[in-house]
Amino acid sequence: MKATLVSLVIAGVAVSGCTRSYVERRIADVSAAQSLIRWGPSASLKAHMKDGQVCVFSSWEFHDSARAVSGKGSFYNINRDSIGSGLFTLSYDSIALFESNVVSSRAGAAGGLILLSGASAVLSIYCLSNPKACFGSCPTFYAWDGHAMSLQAEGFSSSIAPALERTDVDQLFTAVPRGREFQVLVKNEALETQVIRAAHILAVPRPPGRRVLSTSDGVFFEAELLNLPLAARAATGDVSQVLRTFDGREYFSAADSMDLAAREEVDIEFQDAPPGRLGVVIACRQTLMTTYLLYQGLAYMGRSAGHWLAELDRKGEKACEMAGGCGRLLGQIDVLAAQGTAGWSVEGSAGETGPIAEQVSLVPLSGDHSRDGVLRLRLRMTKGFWRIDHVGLARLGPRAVPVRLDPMSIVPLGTSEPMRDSSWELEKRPLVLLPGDAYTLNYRLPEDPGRYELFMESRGYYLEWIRNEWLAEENPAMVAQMLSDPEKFLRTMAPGFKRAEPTMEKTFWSSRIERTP
Amino acid sequence: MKYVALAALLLFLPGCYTVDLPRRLPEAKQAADLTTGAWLVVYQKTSEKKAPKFEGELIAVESDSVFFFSGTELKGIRKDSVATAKLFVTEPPIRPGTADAWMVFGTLSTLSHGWALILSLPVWLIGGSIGAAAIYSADDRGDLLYPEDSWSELGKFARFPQGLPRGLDRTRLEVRVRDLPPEGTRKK
Repeated sequence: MKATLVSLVIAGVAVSGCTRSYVERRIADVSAAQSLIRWGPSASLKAHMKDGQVCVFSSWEFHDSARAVSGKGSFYNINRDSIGSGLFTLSYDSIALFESNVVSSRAGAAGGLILLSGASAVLSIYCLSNPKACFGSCPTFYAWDGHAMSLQAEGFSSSIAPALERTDVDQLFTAVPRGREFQVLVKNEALETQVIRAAHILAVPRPPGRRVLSTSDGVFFEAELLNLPLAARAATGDVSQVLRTFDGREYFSAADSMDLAAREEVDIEFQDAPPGRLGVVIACRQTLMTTYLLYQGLAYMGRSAGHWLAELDRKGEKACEMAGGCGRLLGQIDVLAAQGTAGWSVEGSAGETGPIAEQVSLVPLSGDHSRDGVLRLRLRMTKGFWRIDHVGLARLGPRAVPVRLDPMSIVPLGTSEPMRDSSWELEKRPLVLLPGDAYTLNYRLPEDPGRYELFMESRGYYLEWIRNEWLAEENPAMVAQMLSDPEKFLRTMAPGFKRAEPTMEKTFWSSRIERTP
Repeated sequence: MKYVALAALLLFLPGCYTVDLPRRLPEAKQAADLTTGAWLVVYQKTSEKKAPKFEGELIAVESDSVFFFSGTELKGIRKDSVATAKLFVTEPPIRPGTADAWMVFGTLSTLSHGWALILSLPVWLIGGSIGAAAIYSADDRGDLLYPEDSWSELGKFARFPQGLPRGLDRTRLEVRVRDLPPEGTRKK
């Protein structure tokens, strides 16, 4: 019988060997080069020249204002013989198109069916091994980025109960409208019930060559993104390369082993900071610490979770404030500016709840803090709590005013029949999404849609499903500690989180309840 | 019982079946960095029983034509004359020969199972032959297949994804990708 088992294992290995690596290649003309950066981590960028030569960059930077790309790379002639390597600056006028590649894997033909039927088992194993890391937190919004429908935002992540219902504004930073008809795909990819009461597009006019960015308190500014040389140092060393470009590579640290609220600092220097009103641009998302704490809190509530969440409704603002104690301690990313010998001034904060979609936030600086063209900033934040993709500077223009657009229709994914037309009001009849549900929200943008920056304004809440395996941890004393003494609670939680931390990110994304359009 | 297993194995082994898979392809990570075109296999439309077949490095896809090297000759054919085109970009995880070897090895291993072979042999014969057939089919299909995939998708993997550069002297183009046997098996 042992031998039979060996045979079956061999069969399994043979079948699992059918996972195939493939190259996904994207091509973009010079006007859409930036979209390649946000597509995914690519080891190289190829610039195909109009005369047939090609330059393969190993590191690169786009200078849209100068219409050029520069970086380190190698040049090849039309027969692909190497003709030189080093630093190159290429004008957009000489480039036919850019090419970027991502290596992915998928189940091969032979493994397909077996892998498919095994998928739910794998999901169970993942979630059982680390139940506080399974995919969760709020509806996800997808929009066309010039190549595919890609993840752009997650809505109202901190609204875990009806009493905590909030409006959330997220920039659809890489969305590219294909015309006036604009579609947003909203999905529930987690084990939760999501209730959406509002889903507006905020279309904000932007002048050519500029973007519109939003502060964490919802003020919109016209902004010119500056590509300035940056030096950045964290406790772990130089992180300049990671933070320089908005490319999916993120800086993050490990959480403190004794206290999850312990802080860290990253010092940043911008050379050649121009005069005028400036703002700090931060693209980031949270690590899974929030998810872990939310799930652990719900596990401690156990069978009484419904009761605790209902209490938030009954006791109003005071109870909500109490429930938010941990969140306030963990905080946002504080931006400080050097004031010479006078120390540091706090300029504002960036970052919003949610580990899924990166968000771009703007922190306007209160004045000109540069010395001899060098602007020194400090990011202060909770250790192991943020994943920062990019830190940059922007020259700010005037405030901008958005146009609010209602969905014209809402269509369940996979059908063509709208379930609601434009007269439908989410406020009165909310859209309820169960795990796996997905809907297309259809909007009509103003004329000349390319001249608008798009934001998703969503309002609602979600109810996390209590998993069976959590119930064993029911512990009212810990709930009381979480609510009344969040400092102590974050210290108590540190060892458990540290055990889960190394594998959480992988487990989280592997347990997503996915449905493709 | 052993003879039953061997006879069954011979019955289930894939018969004579050839695939268009070239003998050597880069691994995915290498393929991403290559600046040459991927390997194209083209079958032209014909009323004959056997369709004319060409293969070689894909050079460019234009609005009406496809350019590729056939041997050392740069060849251009009209898109509307193409019945099927396969593009091979990366090395498949399992080649047909390996699939056969797996099936033979797995099936033969059931000989040691005694009477449990009644259960394990059919598992290997049926599962193995289905798996091998799927591998043959996947390997033969390539990474992209026209008309299932559009010419613009195939064109991304050409030496010149932008199309033939304007003013290019085509006589200066040289073949850079050949269908060579795997490294280590070539005769010196």
